[in-house]
Amino acid sequence: MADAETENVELVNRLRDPETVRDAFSEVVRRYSQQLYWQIRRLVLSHEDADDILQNTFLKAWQNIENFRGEARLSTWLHKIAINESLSHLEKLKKQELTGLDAPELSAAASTAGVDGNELMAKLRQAVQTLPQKQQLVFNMKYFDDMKYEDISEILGTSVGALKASYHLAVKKIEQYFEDTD
Amino acid sequence: MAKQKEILEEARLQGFAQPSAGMSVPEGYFDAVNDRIIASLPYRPEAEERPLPPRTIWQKVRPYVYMAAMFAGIWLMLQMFAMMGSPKALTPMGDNPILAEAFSNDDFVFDYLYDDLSTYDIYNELYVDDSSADDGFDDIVSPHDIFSTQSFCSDTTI
Repeated sequence: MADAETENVELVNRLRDPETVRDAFSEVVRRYSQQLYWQIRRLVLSHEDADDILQNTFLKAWQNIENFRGEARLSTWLHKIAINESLSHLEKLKKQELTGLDAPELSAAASTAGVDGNELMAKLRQAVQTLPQKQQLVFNMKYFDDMKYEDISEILGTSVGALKASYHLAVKKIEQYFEDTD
Repeated sequence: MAKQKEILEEARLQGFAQPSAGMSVPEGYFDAVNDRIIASLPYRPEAEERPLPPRTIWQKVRPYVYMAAMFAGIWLMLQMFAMMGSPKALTPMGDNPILAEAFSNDDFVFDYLYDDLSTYDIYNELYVDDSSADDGFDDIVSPHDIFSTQSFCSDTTI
């Protein structure tokens, strides 16, 4: 744990040095691309959309790298950007859907976008999709990513107490969904 | 309901409680996407170039100091030219000790200055100065008359 922390500090220091910033950022991409991808993918579901958003996330991070002062953790900063990008994408899709433009159906994307697994997993996915967006985020981060409440709190800017309540509510709703569809 | 409560635990046990649960990506996707993202990062001089050290006060004011010095130099040069070319630079004749001494010497004045005067000038001066018959003339005569008399006299002399 201490080694990871030291490594992170060293990476942040290299990001601050103009001579090493590009190499350091390449390492950031390699280190965080997978976890960011899955976080984005669980929100937008489509692989193509997740791929685009992942690229945008890193591009935004690169364009603002000198604004990253190292006060927050690097992973927190990147997760924030990824979530904002994902939510903006979903908003855009919703608007297109409302205005009747040719946009992929969110529900259709949810059911078909490269989803594997058995019936239980499919049902769980559908249950998560019924949650409000904020609860989805909290549930995904806690249940699938096994993140600490303190870390989620930093990313979402919500108190730990509120997150616990939100997660509890999300679990209740999912259980209710299973009961209703059983 | 008790069964439903266990559903999430069951999913966890089945290995679904993980980031990629139930989703897949094309093979080798992450290697490819990493390379693609890294290759697409634009060059950013503001992040990738060391900023210039801050300018000192002297460096900031130096152009203005140089400009002021240049204008002062030009002004001084113009002043110098003006002094050299001005008539004030010449000493007035009255202040010239050599000339003063010369003018105080009657011999010099008569020999050097008055010697050059023609008869016409002398008579003309007398006429202008309103000279009277006491000066050797019975009537006031014009220089013209004098000259005509002179020519008559000379004619008779001859």
